[in-house]
Formats: sequence, structure tokens, C-alpha cells
Amino acid sequence: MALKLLPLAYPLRSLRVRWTSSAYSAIGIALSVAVFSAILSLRAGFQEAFSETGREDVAIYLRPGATSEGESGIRKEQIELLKKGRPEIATDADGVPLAAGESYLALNLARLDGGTTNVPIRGIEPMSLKVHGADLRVVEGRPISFGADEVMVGRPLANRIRDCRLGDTLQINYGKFRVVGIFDHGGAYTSEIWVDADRLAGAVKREVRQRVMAQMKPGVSIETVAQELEGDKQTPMKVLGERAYFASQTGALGSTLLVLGLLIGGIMGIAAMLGATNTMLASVGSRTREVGILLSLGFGRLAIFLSFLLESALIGLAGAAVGLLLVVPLNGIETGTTNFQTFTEATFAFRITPGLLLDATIFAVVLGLIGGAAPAWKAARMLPTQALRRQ
Amino acid sequence: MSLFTLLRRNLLRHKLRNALTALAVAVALFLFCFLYSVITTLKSAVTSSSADRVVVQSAVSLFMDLPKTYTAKLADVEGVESVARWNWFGGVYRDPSNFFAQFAVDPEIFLAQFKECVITPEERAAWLADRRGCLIGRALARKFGWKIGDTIPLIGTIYTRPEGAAWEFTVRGIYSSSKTNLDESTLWFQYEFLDESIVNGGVQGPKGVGVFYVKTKPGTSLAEITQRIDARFEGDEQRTLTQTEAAFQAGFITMLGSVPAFLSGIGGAVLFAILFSVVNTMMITSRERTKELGVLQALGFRRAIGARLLLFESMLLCGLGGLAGLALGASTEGTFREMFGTQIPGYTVEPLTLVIGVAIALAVGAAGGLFPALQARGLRVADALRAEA
Repeated sequence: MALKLLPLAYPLRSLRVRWTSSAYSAIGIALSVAVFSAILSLRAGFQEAFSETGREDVAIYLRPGATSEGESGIRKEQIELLKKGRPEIATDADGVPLAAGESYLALNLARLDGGTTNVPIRGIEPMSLKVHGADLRVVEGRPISFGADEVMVGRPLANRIRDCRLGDTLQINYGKFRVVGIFDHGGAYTSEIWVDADRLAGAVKREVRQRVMAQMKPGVSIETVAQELEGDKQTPMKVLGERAYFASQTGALGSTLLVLGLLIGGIMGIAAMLGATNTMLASVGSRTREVGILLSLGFGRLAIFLSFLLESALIGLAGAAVGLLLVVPLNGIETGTTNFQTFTEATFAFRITPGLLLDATIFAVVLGLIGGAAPAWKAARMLPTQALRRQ
Repeated sequence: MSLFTLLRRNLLRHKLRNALTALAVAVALFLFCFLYSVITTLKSAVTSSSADRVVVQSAVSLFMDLPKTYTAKLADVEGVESVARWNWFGGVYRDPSNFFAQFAVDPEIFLAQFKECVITPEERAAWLADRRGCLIGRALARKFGWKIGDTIPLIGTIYTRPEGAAWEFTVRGIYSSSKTNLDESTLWFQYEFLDESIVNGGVQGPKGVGVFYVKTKPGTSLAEITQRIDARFEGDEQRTLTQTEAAFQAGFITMLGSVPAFLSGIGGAVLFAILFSVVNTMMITSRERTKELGVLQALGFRRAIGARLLLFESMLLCGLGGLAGLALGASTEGTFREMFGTQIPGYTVEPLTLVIGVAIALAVGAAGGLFPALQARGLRVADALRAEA
């Protein structure tokens, strides 16, 4: 016997008849979807800004044992040895190595909305700008001039941190640095303040640098370089690609957000699912007679089961639509939190990606399906005679 | 049959439906209890901070060390009773995921300043006598199964030993904390050991002092002494930022940025979602009872009785569900404390959280029952009796 399915219009009409109840459970699902996707979009934005940027042909040299720049420390003479002596480092047209000894410090600065936070400041050398020139755009003002007490500030910081607007003066210990430029970078550097490394060293009276950043010659394997320098007598270093470095700095926050999203979204989802079950139970209960008629008309149990399941999935789909509408306006809103791996503030935006929309929709439909399974089963198992006898 | 019996019977009439609703409320209140406790736990470090300690750090950065010469200069500032040096060590035990806090401190002064760090006199004597000894928190000891006399190897990330060798500390005491501003997940070791390793032991790392914990003399105004200390070092090698311990702790919370607001937002969404679920159930219930409400009125009960019954039923349902959720939230306190031992040290569900939770559950019940109840009030007996069951 071929499976005789109920027309699609049947569950749709049923939803319309009981629209208040359907709407309430759809809203329950919608809110779960909204929370689930808000947390995951935060993670997507975070990963877009950090893990997925960074270049494969740029290597980062840290002191062995250091897991981030803040912990690293490299003496100036070691930096010069590396820059001049390492064969893997590419050179510019004049034969100067494309490498920079950079310093890094988490500045204690006041946030415009109250409280203080740690904002990374990076002491750079002219070569830093040359290597990152293509990815880094000065959107307001101009780049810093070396030898002067000037800083340029990542774009999101200008609106979040005090003394970071163009023309402001930022005090670092006794040094007064003028903000001459606002820059944008697709990745992590956009959360930073950039300054001449020598001027910063002078202001804080600390000569030690935190890393060497260098562009590799084409075809160089950073892994091989890392092995070579690991046990080096003169300049033991921990070397990794820029991309890998960013990923190592942000893995923990990314996975915390993922766990948080799944946990909270999941718990809310359970609550919403229970709501959907109630709606469907009521829906099935008040249609007992109808089910009896359908059964006597020759519709199979599977057809009835599927029809009720579809009704429930539609509630989930409606929930997904509403939930995503609630979340989409978040897209692009910038926020910040401290990345406890580097102990500095990371600025990033909510990102609603197509993959996320799909995940959220699947999440909602699955909630609807699970919520509707038991009531649909109940409907399909009814006996026609008993069902028809019900008032 | 009293009205209460009717209420009870009604509640049990649709066991499955009401159980599902109560369960949804329970789940929501459990989530509320967890999120709210995370926030109160984070804040408790601030509220329980000592009123006689201030913290001196570099004005430039928390990660910028201060000159060692500041120790003696601080001791001379008026109103200062004692000065302890603190350095963040940042060592890794086996794997970075085993993160916990480690500090090098002046042991005697630290113990004198932190009465909330509870150890036996024997442990105290053993720690002070062993340069390489350390003191670990109870939660830390439990997590890694460490006992007194064990050796803890740590790979330095800030202070690296030649050839990347591990630092080794011997456990001389396991402390418990009598106040929430001191967590039980920290390792303390002797500052002198760190310092001599840098000076003579070939260890690389910052040579100065991370922060100073200063205990003030009784009767000293904290607002004045913080200013006095910063003024003392104005013009010296490094400018300082001196804060009360509470302000210093609060700084770590503001670092979380929008996270607490975000958690509150989620909590709000959860409760809102659950409200819809309850309204839904009560609407279904009231629709089914329309006829009965008519019968009640026809029997001479006042119109408001039916409405009140619905309202109470809803509140009872949510109250029971809420209690179950909160009970789960309170009983999982220990589990979460272990789970988040180092991220959210000392996770605690405060009694106030549970009280707020019960209030929320009842409020959701009241709000959920209100709409159907109002509808029931507006019913005319004849219409109600004519309604299909």
C-alpha cells in the first residue's frame, strides 16, 4: 500500500486555528535561538578578528617558555643578532631584513564607560609598518613618525578608551604621546595602540623587547626554523607563524564562548521544547475527533504522525525566523572583554555568518521536532472507534 | 469540597502538561541560579575585601614591575604598617589548561596581613623554614591530589630557568580561607627564592616587584593614604597607582567588560521565554475549563473565584517548578565549584539568590496566570456554559 500523506495545508491550517498557543511556543523557541546565536555570533566575530587573521609568511620569535608576548622578554643585542643573522628572513629592495624587534605592554587605561582596562600597546620599528603595510590602513590622521612622542590607535579603541581620539594626549609614565592617527586592521592589531618602540622604552625605562616579527623568504618552513632555534646556544627562541600565534592567544576565549553558547542555549532549548510539547499535546487533545475521522478515512498512522510532526517543526521554523530577526541587528555591534590569555582587552564585533544562521535554524527545527514527537506519537496511536466517540 | 481541594485536583488533572510546565520553570530557574551566582561570586571578592589594605601598582600597567627600592620607601610613608612584595609567577603545571594562580610573596608579612589565610602553626613554621616551600589552597590540593611534602614542578613562562628547566616547590602547608576575597586555588612561595634565582641562578625575567600589598595602621584614612603614596612616588622612576583592595579587585571585574551585562541579558531572555511557556499552559487550561467556570458561577460562586483559582494554580505550578530548579542549583554548588575551581574561584550560591529566585518564580506564575484570569473574569455564565469542553 502506497503511503497516503495528509495535505500540507492540514498542519498549516491547524497552526492558524490555534495561533495564540502556537505563537507562544514559537516565541519560547525564538528566544532560545536568539540567545544561542547571540553567543555564537560573538564567538564568530571573535574568531574572525583573531584566529582567522595573521599571515602564514610572517614569523613571531618569542623567548622560550613564553606563551604570549606579555610573558616574553628579549634583550636588544639578541634582537640585532636575529635580524642580521637569520637566513630565513626576507629582505627589502635595499637588502635590509624585513624584521622588527617589537615591545608589548598592557597599559592600564580608563574606559569611557567607567572602570579601567588593559589596552595593549605595541612598540614598533619602521619595518613593522612595512611588513604589515598592506593589511593596515590609517583611516584618520597619519602614521606615526619615528623619533617623536606619537601614537596611532586602533579604530575601535577611539570610542572606548579615554585619551584615544585623534589629537588627544596619552600619558605613559612621564611621557606625553600625541594621538596622530587612527588605524584599521582586519585582525588583532586593531585592538592595539602603536608607538615608536624606542620612545616607549624611554618613557617606561625598560629596554627589553617582547618579540621579533619577521617576514619569511618564499618557501621557508616556519616549523623547520622553530626546530632549529629551539635549542640554539646564542639565541634560543620559540618561533611560530603569526596565524598560529593568534590562534594560540585566543583559543581559550573562543572555546569558552562555544561551551557557554551550547550550555545556555541547550538549557533554554530544553525549556522551550517543553513548551512546544505542551502546545502540541493541547493541539492533539482538541483534535482527537478529527484524528478519528482521518483514521477512518484510511489515512495511515505514519501519515498522521508525520503531519503532527510537521506542524511542530513549523513552530520551530517560525521560532527560528523570529529569533534570528531578534539577533540580526546585533551584527556589527562592537563589544569588548578581557582575553585572559593575554590579560588585555580584545575588541570585536558580533558576526552573524551564514553558517550560524543555518545552525540556528537547525537548532530550532530540532527543538520543534523533539518537542512534537511524543504528542504526534500519541495521535498516531489512537484507535479510530475511541477517538470518534470522544466529544 | 474546599476550593483548595479543587485547586489541588485541577493541578493533578493534566499531570503530563503541568509536569512539563513545572519542569520548564525548573530548568529556567536553575539557569538563573547559576548565572546569578557567577555574578555574585565574582563580586564577592570586592565586597569582602579588607578595609585596611591598599595595593600599589605601576601607573603605566599592572604588568610593569616596580623598582625593588620602593619597598623601603613605602615603609616610610606615614600610616603604613607593613609592606609585602607580590610577584605574579605564571608557571605552567604540565599543560596550560591546568591554569592556577601562583605568587611569590614575603611569607611572614603576607601571613600577618592576610589573617583569612588559615594554616596550622606547624605548617606556618615549615613554610617559613623552607626557602623552596610553598603554600597551596585547599581546592588546588583537592584538584591535583597534592599532599604536604609533595613536589610541584612548574615551567616558568615569565621567569624562565636555563634550558627551560622546571621550578620545583615543596608543599609545606595547605590553607583554607575564612573570607571570599581570598580564594583557595592559589600557590604562594617565597619572594626571596625568586629574587635570588634571578640574581644568581641564571633565571630570566623582570627584576622588580609586581605589586605591593600595604597594610595600614589602625585609624588611617584609606583615601588619604592612597593619595599620599602616589604623591610620594611622583617624579620617581615609575609613577604608581595605589588603590584600596576593593577597588583593585573591582578592576578585575570591569576587565570582563560587557560579560556581566551579557549574562544578565541572557538571564532576562530565559525568564521571558519561560513566561510565554507558562502563559501558554494557563491559556490552554483556561480554555478547557471555560465550561467549569460557568458551572462554578451558576452554583453561586462569585465571578472572581474562578479567576483567582487560575491565578493560584499558575503561581503554585511555577512556585513548585521554581523550588525544584533552585534546589538543583543549590545542590550543584559543590560540583560547579570544582568544575570552575580556577576560573571562578569559590563559586557560591548565596541565600539571597535563592530568595530572589523564588520571588521570580512566583512573579512569573502570577504574570502567566493573569491574562487567562482576566479573561475568565469577563466570562458570562451563559456563554461559558455553552462553550465546548
